[in-house]
Amino acid sequence: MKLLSPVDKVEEVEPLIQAGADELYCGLLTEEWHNQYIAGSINRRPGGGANFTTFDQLDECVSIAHSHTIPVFLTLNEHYYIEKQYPYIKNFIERADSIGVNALIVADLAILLLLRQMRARAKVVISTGGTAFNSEAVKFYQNLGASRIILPRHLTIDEIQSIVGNVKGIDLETFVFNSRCPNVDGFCTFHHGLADKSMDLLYRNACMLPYDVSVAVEDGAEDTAARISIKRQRIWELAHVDDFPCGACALWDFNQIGIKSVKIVGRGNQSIRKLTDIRFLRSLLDLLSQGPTKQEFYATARKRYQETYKRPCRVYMCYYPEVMIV
Amino acid sequence: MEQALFITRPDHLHYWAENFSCLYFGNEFCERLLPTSDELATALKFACDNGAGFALVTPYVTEAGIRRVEALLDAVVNQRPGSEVVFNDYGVLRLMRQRFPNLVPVMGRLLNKMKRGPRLMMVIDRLPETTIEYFSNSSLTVPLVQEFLMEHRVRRVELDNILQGIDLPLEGLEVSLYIPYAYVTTTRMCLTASCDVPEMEEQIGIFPCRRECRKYSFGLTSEIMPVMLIRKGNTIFFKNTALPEGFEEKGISRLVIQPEIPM
Repeated sequence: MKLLSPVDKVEEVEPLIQAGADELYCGLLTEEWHNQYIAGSINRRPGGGANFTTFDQLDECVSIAHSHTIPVFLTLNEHYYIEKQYPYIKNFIERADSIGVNALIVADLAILLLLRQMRARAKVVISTGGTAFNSEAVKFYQNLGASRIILPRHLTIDEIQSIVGNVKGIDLETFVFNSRCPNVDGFCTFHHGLADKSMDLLYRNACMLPYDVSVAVEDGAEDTAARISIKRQRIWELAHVDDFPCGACALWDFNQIGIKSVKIVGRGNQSIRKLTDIRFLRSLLDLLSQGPTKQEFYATARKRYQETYKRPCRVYMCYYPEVMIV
Repeated sequence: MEQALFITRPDHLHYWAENFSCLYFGNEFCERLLPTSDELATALKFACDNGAGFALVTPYVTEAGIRRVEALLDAVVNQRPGSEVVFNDYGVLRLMRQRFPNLVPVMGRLLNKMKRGPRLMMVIDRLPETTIEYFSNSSLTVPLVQEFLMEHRVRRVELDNILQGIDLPLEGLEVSLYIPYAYVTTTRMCLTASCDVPEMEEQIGIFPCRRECRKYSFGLTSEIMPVMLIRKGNTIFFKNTALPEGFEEKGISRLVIQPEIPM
């Protein structure tokens, strides 16, 4: 099972690989695109800090990674693009292809069709924005040329296993760390980054806003529902704050199931944070190779999480909370 | 202009009126709320008795969910071939193409990815024209997509009544507009599930529920949101009753009326 890490800067590439990343993914946001579309991102990260800003930087990243036989995947995973953007996008794909990126991560059906038409050399990975919740959806994308599917965060381990059992000839990837988005990525139509950090309520993702919550009940008020809903809304605001949401225990299950790769979210995170996340998960993948029992692995994963991140395991910060309460 | 009634359960059939020519029945957001076979039979009979068209509305579905959808499609094709099926999952489209050529696929609003977040309206005056154009448009205008939809026998697409307006020249496709509730986002980590069970209060994930969504709605207000968001079940909506200017010229040929939030 491969460990996929984000990378945003050329100087990060070597250390991330040394720390144990098997695969890298990144974004590229040029000034040309940013000036025209601002919050209309090319890859779900409208801020420059989460992206390379030139093709030269991407080229350098790919060269270093390939010298270690590590593949690099480039995100082109906004949920949709309009026809007017296509001349830029076609050029973007051609240049990425000539640089030698190993795959493009896409969410929009139109881009998938475009890549097929262009006969791009890069493989096609379907982003979690592609919302492949079942094996029929996986086959739908496979028939259009996808070689890997990133499954939605909003699936249980059992549901993932049932998909794996009904597909073949395609790699599946799951999330294991950071940004446990409370909403289904591919069906969330809130904007990311409508303004810079100086305008906090526009900068924050809309799921993180401190809403006032009111309760309407069809047959009489219930204080319990009101209280719980307000509390859950506050947790919801936290769930995306990256208070180290984790799915490390599920590595044991994913290894058994046959998941090809596990993903660390974190484009835009500081380098030290990326390195910590890789080392934490690499140590657990190494442990897996020694054949621990499920109970032994879960116990070790929890202990290392708590030691590394100085936090207890919490149901609402657990990617696959069934490992905690079932 | 054709008008359709969209309801999620048989006890809402009382909303039917003479101005409707089509009944939309089902759920877009939660496979647990898929109708039972009896509920589907009731809705199909009602549509038939009233000489109305019928559209089964389906959500995004897990592996177990798609088997339930398949059973419902079997029932629809047996009782009412030629009916429409609103798909919000490409897996369901694939299933229809392979097994149900006698049902008519309609591309649901979840697969039209136009941004709906109302916060956009707080800054829209400050954005470049190119950005505004992006937010009013969608990938449905890309010829490759239109060709793909034609190849898959999709002739109708469903749109939400978004606040920033719609500027979609969709030649060759029929367009429906959902009124008055637009969806913004959805989750399977349902905050409403077990929301009145104290021992479950911190359990935010994919857990069992007792259909609390049928009982509770939650309003979410913020100084940065120009309209109130409504959390109903696992989905957030807002209400927009104002039809877009010149909507008939924009190719919209059907209004899908939701008398209640479709949950």
